[in-house]
Order: sequence, then structure tokens, then C-alpha cells
Amino acid sequence: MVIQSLILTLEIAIIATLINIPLAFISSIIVTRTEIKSLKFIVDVFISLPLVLPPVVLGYFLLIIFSPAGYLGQILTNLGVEVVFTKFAAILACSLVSFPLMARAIIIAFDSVDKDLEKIARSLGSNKLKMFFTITLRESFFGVCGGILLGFARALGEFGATIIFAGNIEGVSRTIPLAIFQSIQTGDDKNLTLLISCSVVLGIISVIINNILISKSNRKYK
Amino acid sequence: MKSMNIQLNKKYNDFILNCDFSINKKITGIFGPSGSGKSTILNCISGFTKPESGHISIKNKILYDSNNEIYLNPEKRNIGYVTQKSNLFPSMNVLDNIKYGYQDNCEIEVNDIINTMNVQDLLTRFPNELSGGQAQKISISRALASNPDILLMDEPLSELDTQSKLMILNYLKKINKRYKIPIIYVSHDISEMIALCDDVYMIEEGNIKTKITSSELSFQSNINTDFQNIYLLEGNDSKELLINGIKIKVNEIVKKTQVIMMLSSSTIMISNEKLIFDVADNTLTGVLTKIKNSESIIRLFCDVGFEIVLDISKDYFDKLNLKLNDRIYVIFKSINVNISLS
Repeated sequence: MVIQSLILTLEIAIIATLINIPLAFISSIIVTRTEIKSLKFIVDVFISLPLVLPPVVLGYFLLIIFSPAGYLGQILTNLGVEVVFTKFAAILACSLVSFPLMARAIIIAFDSVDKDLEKIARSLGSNKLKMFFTITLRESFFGVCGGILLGFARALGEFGATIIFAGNIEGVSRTIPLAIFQSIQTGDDKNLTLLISCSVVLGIISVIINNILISKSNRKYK
Repeated sequence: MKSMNIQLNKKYNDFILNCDFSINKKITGIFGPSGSGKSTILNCISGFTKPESGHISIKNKILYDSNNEIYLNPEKRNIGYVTQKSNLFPSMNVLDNIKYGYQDNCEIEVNDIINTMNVQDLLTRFPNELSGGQAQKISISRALASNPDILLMDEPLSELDTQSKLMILNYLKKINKRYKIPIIYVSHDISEMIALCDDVYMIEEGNIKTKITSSELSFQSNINTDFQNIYLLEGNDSKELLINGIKIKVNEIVKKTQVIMMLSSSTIMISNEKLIFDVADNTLTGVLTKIKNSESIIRLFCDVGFEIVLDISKDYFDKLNLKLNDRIYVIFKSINVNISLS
């Protein structure tokens, strides 16, 4: 049970992180680089919203949208796609909850890149895409990695939205936090200790790597 | 031959920039107080600010033309841009910084730039391991390596110490001469303008008022200037220097570098016989080469080995009974000779 939950947790967190990376990049670029203030404001609100709402509420929203009676769920059901109480549901829940943390950290990383550097890169012949990859991303690399890791760590610990939207199904959506919940409910102390240990170790590793990345990110400007 | 034509209008709330000027292959200065629109002109030329209307072209290449709706993006303008801060890319070493805008078909070789700018020893260093002057040298090298049609310099010396300023000014003259790249140099420091530029556009409240040569600027500002080499012995801690027979008092020791000596024309005395003053410790012998009259002041041009300009009252001029080619004595205090650029 512990190994299965650990593998499932890593699998779900990795996929959720991979889904979030391009979205976080796009939204961070819009927030930090666009001159259209209204667009910037709307994207900023959408990034922040999952951060301030309880995960249970987010799970409930997902349930309303993706349930067979929901707006999107109806279409998907007609196409023969079931989302609710599946592994995909757990991935979506983890994505939604971890997205703002990743996006916020990447926004900070992009903001830390001096706009004058980008200006100089353009004057040296780089178009916006080349400038983004050779300057913006390169100069904010460690901060961006830290943001991705932060999102990944949050996805590892996701509970509220997952249990509402994906249920607590062994082998499908029972990640470590849900397995801990299950062990507490059933009084399975042996597995509980192991699961909590796994959770703590994963958390410590994530925090250490994140701190190393942040210190590397800060060091080069000193 | 005109190398670049600039005609632009730009509004910022109450501020209106309205200028029309052209530059040649030399070093052209834009001189004016802070907020007069100097940097905005450079931003319009480089494409980071879009004017409301106007026309900007360089070597027959149109960068911006409001009538024909032409607006080239900054990366297509082929312009080298050097700002107040060196803005080197922090995660790249010096060589990677220099090569950033370099393309294989560039006329100027990177190695040639490295040698010209004398930065061979810095190539493996990172920007945080460079002094302000070194970083600005790399910034100029990087702009040069992109083989620009023109170099725009937005107060590149404003954050540097005197010695670094002098070093960079010498390099700028060198690269303009060697690579024949026109330079537009923006500053509110008159001594930089006099030391570096051939022509200077005076800008005030968004309008180009006049175009003058740097020697005219020097004349208008009553500053005598001259490039001189100072060679001091290492370890010499004297605060009084002797350059070409002129005593100069300095606050800091400048070693083995070129400096610009500046002396206000109003601080110089003239005599037709040798006088000895305790405080005026510089007396140079020369010949009166030119006399210029104005209502109350007579401006005299004297050859004392180099040209020195001074102003005296009409009464005093009459009293001395001076004529062209008369032998004269120019007297001034060493403390009035300024070799600082700032």
C-alpha cells in the first residue's frame, strides 16, 4: 500500500507539474511582460484565485464542471470520456492547487531579470523569442526551477481538492496524503508511520533543493 | 556626408519632444539638462519608444517613417546601444557577453575588438568580477561586436570614477577612428562633450536649440581644454603635478593616463611684462594670436604652446595697449586648473 501510494503520488505530481509548466510560463510572461493592463489584471486574478480558495472548494468546482451533469462533463461523457474519480481527476486537482505557487514563483523570477538586459539583447539583434530563451529564462533559471519544484512539492501534498474530485480510490487516486487519511481512519498505525515518514522525507528534500536553487539565483547578482 | 537623419515628435503628458537633425560619421553629442529629452531621442532611434510621427533613417535604411507606416523592431535596426549601467548579462562570462550579438558575416572580428579594447585578460571573468570601468568597456565591446551602423551612448560614464571616465573616453575616440562607426553620445556633463564630441546638439525642453562644435561649446562655456599625457612615477603621492610646464593642484593622483585640463577664461590674468605673484603660481609666455571684441569684454586668444582663451575688461585691454603678435604673459593659479571630468 505504501509503495503503491508513493509511486502514484510521484506519478500524479510529476504529470501535474508538467501540465503546469507551460501554463505557468505563459501566464507569468503575460503578468510580467505584457503592456495590456486589463489582460495582466485578469491573468493575475486567475493565478491568485486558487491560492486564496480552500482546496475543498476548488475540488467542488472541478466536480461541478467535470461531473456528467456538468458543463464540460456532458461533452466529455458524450465523447466517452470519464474524468471524475479517475487518476486524471487527481492530476487535474493537483495541477489546479499547485499552479498558483509555481506561477507566482516564476513571476518573481522573471521580475528579477533586469528589463534593461532584455532591451540590450534586442538591440544586439535578438527577436523576442531568442531574447526570452537566451536572456530572460537563462537569467531567471534557478528561480524558475525553484518555482517548478515548489509546485511539485505542493502537488505531492495535495489532499482537499483530490478527495472531492478524484475520491480516495486505491491505485487510482489514493496518493500519500489520502493514504495517511485512510490509515488514520482505519487505525493502521504501521502504514501510517511509513506514509508520514515518506511524506516528511519528500518534503525535506524538496525544501533543501528549493533553498539551494534560491541561493544560486541570488548569488550571481551579488 | 550625412550618415543619419532624425526627425521625430513624441509626447509624454506635458512634455513634447520635437527635433530634426542629422549626424555624420563623427562623434555627435546631444547635450542638455536632465529631462530635456536626450534619452528619449536615443530610445526612439533604437526602437524602444515609438514616436508619434517623424522619420529616422541611417545609411539610406529607413528605421521609422510615420508617413509610410514603417517601424522596424529594435532587433532589425542594427544599432549598438550602451547605457549608464553596463547591463552585462550576469550569467555569461565576458567573452560570451561580447559574442552575444556577433554573427559570422560581421565585418568586425571579435578578436580585433578584444585587442582594440584591451580586454584580453578579462574574457573568462563574470560581470560581478569586473570594476565599473571594465564592465563598461565590455559593454562597448559587446555593442561593437554586433557590427552596428551606429553606436548610441546614453550617459555611459555617469556612474564611473574620473580615471575610468578618462580611459573610456580614449577608447571611444579610438573606436570611432578605427571602425568608422558614427557615435551619438548623450550627456549632461559638459566636459565629456568637449573632450569627446566633434559636433554637439544643444537640447532644451525637448527641442534641439542649436548645433555647435565642441570647441565652440568650450568657448561658450569659457573653458580652456587640452588633452595632455600625465606620467607620474608610481608611488608619487604629491598633490601638485607639473604638466607641460603648468602647475596643477589635484585632489587625487592620476597615474599614467590622459586627462583633460580645464581652465575657465575668467580665472586667467594677462600682462605684457613678467609679474611675480605668490598665489598665481603659473606664468606662461606666449603670443597674442586673436582679439575678439564684445560690448564690455575683450576675448583674447594666446598661443602658449597650445591655445589659451581669456577674458579681460575693455579698460584693462586699453591700458595694456595690446596688439596682435605681442609677446604676453598668461598668469593663473594652479588650483584653478581642473583635470577632473565630473
